[in-house]
Amino acid sequence: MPVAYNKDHAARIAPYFEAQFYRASNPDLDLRHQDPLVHFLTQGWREGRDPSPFFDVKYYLHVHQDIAAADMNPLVHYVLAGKSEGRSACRPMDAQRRCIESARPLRERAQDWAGAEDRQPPQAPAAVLDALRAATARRAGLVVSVSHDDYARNLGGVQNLVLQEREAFEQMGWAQLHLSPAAPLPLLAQPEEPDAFRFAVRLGQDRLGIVLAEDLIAALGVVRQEGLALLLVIHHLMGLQPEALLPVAQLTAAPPVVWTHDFFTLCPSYALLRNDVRFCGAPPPGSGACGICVHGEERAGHLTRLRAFFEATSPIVLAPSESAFRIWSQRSGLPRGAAHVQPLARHVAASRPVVTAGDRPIRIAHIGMRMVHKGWPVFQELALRFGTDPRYAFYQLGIGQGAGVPAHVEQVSVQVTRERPNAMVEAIAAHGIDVVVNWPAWPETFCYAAYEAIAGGAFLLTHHGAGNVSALAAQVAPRQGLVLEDEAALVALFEADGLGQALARAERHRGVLIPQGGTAAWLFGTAEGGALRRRIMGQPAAVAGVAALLEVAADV
Amino acid sequence: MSEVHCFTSASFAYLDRVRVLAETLRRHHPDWKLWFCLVDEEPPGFAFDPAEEQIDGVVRISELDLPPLKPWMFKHDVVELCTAVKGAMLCRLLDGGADKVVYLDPDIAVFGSMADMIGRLDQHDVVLTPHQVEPDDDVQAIHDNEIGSLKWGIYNLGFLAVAGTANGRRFARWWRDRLFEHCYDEVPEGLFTDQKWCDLAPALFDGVHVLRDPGYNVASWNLSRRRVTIGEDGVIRAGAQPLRFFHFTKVTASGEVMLERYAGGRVEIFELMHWYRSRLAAHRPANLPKGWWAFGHYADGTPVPRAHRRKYRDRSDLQARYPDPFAAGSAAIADG
Repeated sequence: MPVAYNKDHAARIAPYFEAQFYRASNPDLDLRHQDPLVHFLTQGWREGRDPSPFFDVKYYLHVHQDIAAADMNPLVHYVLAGKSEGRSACRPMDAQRRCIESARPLRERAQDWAGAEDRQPPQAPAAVLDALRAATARRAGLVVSVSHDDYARNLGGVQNLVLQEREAFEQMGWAQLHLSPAAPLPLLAQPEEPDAFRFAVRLGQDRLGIVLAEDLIAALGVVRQEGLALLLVIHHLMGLQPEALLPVAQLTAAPPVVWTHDFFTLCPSYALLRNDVRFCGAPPPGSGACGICVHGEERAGHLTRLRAFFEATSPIVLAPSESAFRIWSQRSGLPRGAAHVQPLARHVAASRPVVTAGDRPIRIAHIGMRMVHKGWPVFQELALRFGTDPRYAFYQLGIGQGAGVPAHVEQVSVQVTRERPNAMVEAIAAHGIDVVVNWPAWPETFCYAAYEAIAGGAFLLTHHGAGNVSALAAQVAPRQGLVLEDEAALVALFEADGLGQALARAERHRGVLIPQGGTAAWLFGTAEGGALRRRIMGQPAAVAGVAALLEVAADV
Repeated sequence: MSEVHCFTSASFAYLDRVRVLAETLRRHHPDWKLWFCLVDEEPPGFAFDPAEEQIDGVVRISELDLPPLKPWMFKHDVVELCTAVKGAMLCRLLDGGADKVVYLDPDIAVFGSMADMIGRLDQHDVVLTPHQVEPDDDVQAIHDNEIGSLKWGIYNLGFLAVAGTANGRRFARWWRDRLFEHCYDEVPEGLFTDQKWCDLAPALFDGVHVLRDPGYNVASWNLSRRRVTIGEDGVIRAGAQPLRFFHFTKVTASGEVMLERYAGGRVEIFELMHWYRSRLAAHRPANLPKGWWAFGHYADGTPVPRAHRRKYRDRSDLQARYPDPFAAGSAAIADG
């Protein structure tokens, strides 16, 4: 039976009601001529319909049976009394539990990726060779760069790096051949028929199209025979067949370079998130942890194939940060050649400190996607807990996709593009963000968002297990960063006046991020890279100045 | 090494659970013989082929040495009957020459070796696991857990291990005989199926060992004092000990509320629960009618209400008049 409309109740719950969410999650209702809030108040709650992603009607009534017995609208109760009584609006750890419940084996998830496949017919072998010869004529060498997607069509850290490398290599007289899978996948491609593996190929900035592995290897063999120096650089193996890349590695006169942008070489769950929710540390594949993880079954075969590739090639490992290298080398056990740390960007602080108005709430932001591995649930929990606290104001800066945004969080749409690489840094400064909470669920290998926070003049809050983010925050602490033990310490900081005190002591500076040129910078700018380069070229070569190369990279 | 026989007891409705138990037990104890005591019969259109299962043998209720079957079964609901047969099944395995017998509930999944526990049967005759091995200090937890144990039994009979010694066999026969007569869910009467009886075991028998290792028989009723954690070494632990087996006692929404009450702000317990549910889904039997239990209804298909079972077991005249109460029908028992 419908409940009578109560105007006062409507006003009280309005800040906790999300009309758009209500419409989207109740497609069976015709709400064209009715206010969703009125529907919820008079009928919806009785039908178990949730008013927002942050209030679970059925859960509230199930665990608070006194409210169920009183036949009271659970959200009205929560707002009027339940919240101050400390009653939960939804299941404890709801965001993490939703994540666990939606975790699926990657093989199953791969079915959703089928639409991304480039089904064009492959290029003729002669055309591949002609294009390769034309692109490498009068070039000192060819870098064969491998990653999980077409860097020119997608945005992201690895994609940017591949682009930077192309331009840096071209400046140094080399050409870049980029290989990605024609059928992108969230895991390694099946190992069958490596000769027929379909690469999506880009030569320099031009897309060559689809090339079969055997045709590519034949063409590379010819140009190699003709004296061209080759270097294989693997940024990522997702969607690829290591077996199809092995003949490429064997054509070169030196081991390939393998980057550890994440931990895909340790597990198909590249952030090492067990059940997509908790950092696992890459335990032994037969362990109990792998036994209960949705990625456990896939991992055994994945590791066997990667070990075979590493054993055959003994690659040089480049890590984007000290912490990425430390974790990778401690956990991998994979055979390798030399290993080096090559940061992807450098932060240079401006000399003048940021001046903030002292008579407004502290502005706290999550920047980037609202994803579990980026720490969104922790930020969301903070916002739900302290959203009405007059000391704080909460923001999310980034694209609007992902989990819902709780009331009291202002969503600011920011998109970093090739044309606007500093969009996030500028947005942080423009919105006067004081604090960025960067609380990743895994040890980030190189987190642009953390650097953007610092460059935008914000204070960086993170935890000990955040990898490169922890290192950066420790580096700028106590002026502009703080590394906390755990979530309890984070909540305690907000509850007491710890954050206000930390900010009062802080001296924040804006700054700029300078890209470092990736493999090209390492190859042309370091002694170890120079040694490899001479080996590839088969002859001593003049070492380019580091400064010149950084200049190139900065231009990119 | 002495041979270990393990058994579980269930109706077809729990076949998915039996399969997860079998799958996980095989992983850690491939040398144990696993028996499925089947307290059910196949519904029409449903085929059960033991050769397809990861078990070594099936013993149907009709094969056990029990009191006259029809009236005895009628006195029990499904939980009571699945537990009432456990004593007879234990005796059957011990009489067959088993050196060591382990009982595991079908809703248990094994996560580690139980070699240490089996080793204890070299010194002891019976091993029991208490619901709790450490006092609670929170009012709600004391009510849920310790008072729960005072009502339903100190030891959880989802697990039991018995040696084929004279003393072990004596215990087994005593337990079997009590279950023949008094395996009911009658908590106000001091009875709770097969479980409450074992409160008496340490008093009545020598050689009863109380296993207090927190890695065994982890469940919602003891999570408050043994946090489940998963280390970067990949080891799942309960308290400070490696997890041996988890008792997924309820995979329903209300069971989950108990788990979340004692999850201690950690997600691992929900990971275990999700894993278990997905294994159940992978092992769900095809073509089994929902709610099926062969002894849950009269011969004409009418469900047997609990009140009819109670009336029948309390009335010796009805038992004498209707030696096959299933065939007698609902009206006969209701009006009798």
